[in-house]
Amino acid sequence: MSSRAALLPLLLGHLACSGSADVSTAPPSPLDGSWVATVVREPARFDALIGAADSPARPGWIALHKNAWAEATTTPGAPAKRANAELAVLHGVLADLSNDAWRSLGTTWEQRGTLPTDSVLPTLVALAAKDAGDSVSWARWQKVPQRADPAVDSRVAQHDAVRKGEASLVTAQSLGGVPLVEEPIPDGRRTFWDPMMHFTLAQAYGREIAEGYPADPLERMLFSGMIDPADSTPSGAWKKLGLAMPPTDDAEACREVVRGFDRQLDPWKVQLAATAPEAGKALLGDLRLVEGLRSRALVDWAVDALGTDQPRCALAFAEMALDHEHPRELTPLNSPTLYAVTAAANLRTGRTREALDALQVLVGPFPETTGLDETVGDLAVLQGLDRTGDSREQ
Amino acid sequence: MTRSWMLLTLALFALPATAANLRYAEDQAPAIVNPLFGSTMAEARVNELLFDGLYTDNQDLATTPALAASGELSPDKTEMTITLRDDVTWQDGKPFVANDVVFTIQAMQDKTTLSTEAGRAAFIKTATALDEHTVKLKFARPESRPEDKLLFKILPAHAFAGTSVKRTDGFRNKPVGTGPWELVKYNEDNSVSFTTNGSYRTPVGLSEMTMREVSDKNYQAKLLLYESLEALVRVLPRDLAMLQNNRKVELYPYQTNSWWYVGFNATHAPYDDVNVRKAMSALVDVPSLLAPVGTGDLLSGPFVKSSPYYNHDVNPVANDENAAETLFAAAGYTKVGGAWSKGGKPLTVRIAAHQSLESAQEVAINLQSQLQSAGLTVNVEFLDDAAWKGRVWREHDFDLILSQWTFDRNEDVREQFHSQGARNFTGYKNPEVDALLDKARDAADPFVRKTALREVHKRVHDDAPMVFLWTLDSYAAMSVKVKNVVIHPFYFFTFATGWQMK
Amino acid sequence: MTGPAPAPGLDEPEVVLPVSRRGARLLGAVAMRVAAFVATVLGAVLLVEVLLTLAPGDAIDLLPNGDELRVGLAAEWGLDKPLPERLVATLGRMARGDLGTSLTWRPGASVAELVADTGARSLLLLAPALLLGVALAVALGAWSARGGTRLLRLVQAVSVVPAFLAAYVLVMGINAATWALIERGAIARPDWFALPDTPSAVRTALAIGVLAVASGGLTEMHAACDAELRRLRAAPFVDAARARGAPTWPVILHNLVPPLADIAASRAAWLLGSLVVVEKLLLYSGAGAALWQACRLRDYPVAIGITLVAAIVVAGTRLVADLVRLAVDPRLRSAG
Repeated sequence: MSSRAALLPLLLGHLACSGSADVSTAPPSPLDGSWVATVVREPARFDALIGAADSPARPGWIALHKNAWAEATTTPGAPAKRANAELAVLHGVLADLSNDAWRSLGTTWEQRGTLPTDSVLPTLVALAAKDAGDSVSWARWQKVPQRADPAVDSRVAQHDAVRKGEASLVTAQSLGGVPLVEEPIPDGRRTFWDPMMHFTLAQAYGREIAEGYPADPLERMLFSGMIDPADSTPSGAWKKLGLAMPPTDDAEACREVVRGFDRQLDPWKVQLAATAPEAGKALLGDLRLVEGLRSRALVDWAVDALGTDQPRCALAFAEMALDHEHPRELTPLNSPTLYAVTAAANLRTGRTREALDALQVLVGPFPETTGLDETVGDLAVLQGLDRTGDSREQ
Repeated sequence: MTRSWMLLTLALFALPATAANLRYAEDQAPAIVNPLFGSTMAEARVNELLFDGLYTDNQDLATTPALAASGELSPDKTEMTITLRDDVTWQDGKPFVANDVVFTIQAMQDKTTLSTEAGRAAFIKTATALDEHTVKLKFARPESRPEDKLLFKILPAHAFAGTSVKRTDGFRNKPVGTGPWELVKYNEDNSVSFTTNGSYRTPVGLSEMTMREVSDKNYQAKLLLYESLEALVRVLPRDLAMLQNNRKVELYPYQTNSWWYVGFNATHAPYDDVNVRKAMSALVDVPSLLAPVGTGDLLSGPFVKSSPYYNHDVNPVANDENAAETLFAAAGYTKVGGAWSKGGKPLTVRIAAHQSLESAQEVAINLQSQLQSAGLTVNVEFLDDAAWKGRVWREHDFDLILSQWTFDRNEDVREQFHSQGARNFTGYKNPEVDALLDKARDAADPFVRKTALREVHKRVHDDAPMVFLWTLDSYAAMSVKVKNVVIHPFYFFTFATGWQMK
Repeated sequence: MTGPAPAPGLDEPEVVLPVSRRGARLLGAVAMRVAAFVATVLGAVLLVEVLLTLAPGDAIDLLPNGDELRVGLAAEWGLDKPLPERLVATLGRMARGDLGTSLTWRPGASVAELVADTGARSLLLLAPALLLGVALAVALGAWSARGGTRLLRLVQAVSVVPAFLAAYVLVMGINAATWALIERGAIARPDWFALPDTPSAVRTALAIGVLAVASGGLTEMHAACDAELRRLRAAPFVDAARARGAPTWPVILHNLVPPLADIAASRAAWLLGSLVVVEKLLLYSGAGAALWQACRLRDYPVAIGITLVAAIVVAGTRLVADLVRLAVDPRLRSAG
């Protein structure tokens, strides 16, 4: 089962509204049903949720707001669950990226006619194909001349254990950060990393939210990209906003969807600020709630587009979500998944070097992505062999 | 009287605006529109509008046929037979034929042409037209992917008297290409107007384009906001915030592998002493230099941080005055009265910076201040294009230079750090680095290349021919009226046939 | 008999000479001024060539593979000759009326045509700016003679602003204000918007205004006019006209012409200097902007050609002013 196919139901099952509590009275704009409207119009509810300065819940919400998910998972209550859900999505996207990178690495090398025959590479490409749900490639790559390595077999067993629920998230997390295999060659050595890492992590994080996911709508939606608690997919929100996802991978049409969203969002923000109490206005400005909603919604749409094999749309959504004032940082507006989907969409549209730019942002805060960064880098190097480059000043 | 003035003022404002085509800005209008003689990026971009190559990049940045229909490489990789498209005409109506390809290659190689593009055809030994639409190329040595090198633009043989072409040839006044646009005219205000090539082989979304010369960078972003332009090829870092918050403008990030640096002139004393170079490197507070310029990544070597060649085990040089003092002492310098000197002569430094490098003035002045407060005498010069090329590239007449290198996606630093590199004007020489660069160039295994270049990063860092500063983010900006925008990271307009304007 | 010492120049008693000697003196005066004109022009041209040649970097350096092309291009462009030889060659071409072709700015284009085109555009700024400056200076002088100092101070405060700053601030301010009105729907988008991108009468008017007023230009001209007006008003022949009951302004104006010509001539040189800055800032493709580009791109023929014409304009204005004074003032004809 591919990472995408496994992930979406897992996630949606937990994000779909299980209760009937609504967060506000029903005004005309669909955006008025959003958590932003609730927080701004009823700041006391927000304060009650976040808690006082010494409340144990507060650090978790603060971490969630600034997209510091790893930190949020160490705090009690709803923020930890929410962060685990985000991490499940993140690693799902990275798993897709990883599978694409390994597939391209294998096929590009093969097309050059210089695929090493004494390497563990074909095994790793096969494993990635299996995770991607491509049984044909899985079978084909197993037949390519290769070298068996016990380290690979041992690692596969570890992954299986985690995926079956026989080993924990902690075990999964321990698998990252170091190379899987190093094989010597006449002019140096090849270093290969784990192709199964992110799919396993996605499943492990997903299992963390199997129970105890927040029921309160505000707890479920705060700092998310959801417009309405009843929305389980972005298309629900689009319908309410009068938007429609283009059927083809048309980047311009997807940009137009975002512009349509902005045309509703901008005046609504002004109207919201005009009618909000002072405390609500302060939250709106200080926490950049509307900008955060926009960014996260666009990232959700990008992930969805990637899942329906519309990488150009995904890239359009991601580019329009990015806060260009801090283009290389994780901020309340620039989430890890934003960079992950940017990398994945770039790779899928053949822009390997651009994918590395986005991945680089994740390597520091997520050391388990080092292997993926190295693998995509290997692909970029492979694609550039035999090419001489150009340079200029300024 | 007052009422009359008001009415007059309103009358001025009441004149209706004319309809717009896609207008984009360049700092300087192209001097020559002839691919044989291009010397600026503005000229390269215009060539992209007017001319085609045998091959081009597709939107996935893979090499794809353009004027070529197909190509066949011989088993020994020394010959390529290219079948040309037979449905292409020049903008003057004449058919595109194999002789045009042969002519172009020969003109590029003709020593009397003095083409700036001669190097791009150097790998081709001979070009022969086998028939009207077939060309055979023979290469000087085996080529695995010759199509990657066949992106240079093709010229019409019938528009020239022979392969010896002069820069002053009248072709520049009325260039003829096979590209999607034709040059209509050079206007009095130095703008250039283009219109669609009616016989282009695919539909072209934009019927007109205008290149406007806006030499003052202060105006460029403003003109975009005022809807006097539709495209800015490159946005200054200081204009990013303003443009991002405007819903009528969209930002398109470039994948640029570019980094700023301070280079030492290792061809003369005292910068031929690695201790002096390292000492001065330790005196530079790089984060403070960057702060007023924008946001970026600090670097420790000649690659950007996201590069597969970047060696993350190597840290940027720390700003450490104590370390600098130790190194200066090792180089025989003493500090007398707060100033470093050797043999009674104070250490005086000349820093050359490029006038047109945005923010260079600020950085250079701050750098001067840092070095002076550490006991050096520092003079800063700002050089224009010709002075920079003459003093720095040709005469190596400098102590330190402040500049920036931009690489395409291949990130080939050989020319900058190989002792035989044509762009190694810092005079850096390390035989081991030469060997590593050669190994990387000839590698058939990506891991060999990656490992070799990461080692280059480390060695170059240790030898300190440069203080590596930072990489900055780079964007183009387009009006939202322009649809289907896909930008080529180097040539900008390669995919512009798909653009449309509302 | 004692009395106030005669003022220099116009107040000196006229010396009447025989006609032949007057003619000879006049010819001598004209010849001297023409010689000064020629020397100025030649000097300017040679100075520009020397400076550009000695400047670091040359035209070949601007090319990406300049090193490979150097030998061939240097021979083609005459850059392989030593400086004295190049200077002689330049003078020789000037004597033949051959200004050459552009090397790097507009390769192959005739320098004569380039200079004519750009010069004509610059003249459309210079001449009106000069006339405007003179007219404003005279008007202000007349105003200030009546004791109006407040306006004067305001004008001085505005005039002292450097041309580059005035041009930049005006462009930014006008654009911002106009855009605000457009966005509010108060006005339709004007043809000339946004400055300075599109050629327009507004841009031209702005350039003329800045040239005429800024960088202290109007203040200086006004000061000079004011001094002349005061002197003239106190002149005995004006008193005589007043005493006769005749209007004084024709007399004043007639006597104001020579010093105004002087003022205009010296102002022309300043204006040419400001022209480079104003044209560059307002993206006006005149001779000033062309000279800037030619110097930056080491386009020696274009830079020399523009300098030649500019020197002719400056020195020629001086010459014309002197000839006008000679023609109008009989005392100068006698004095030589």
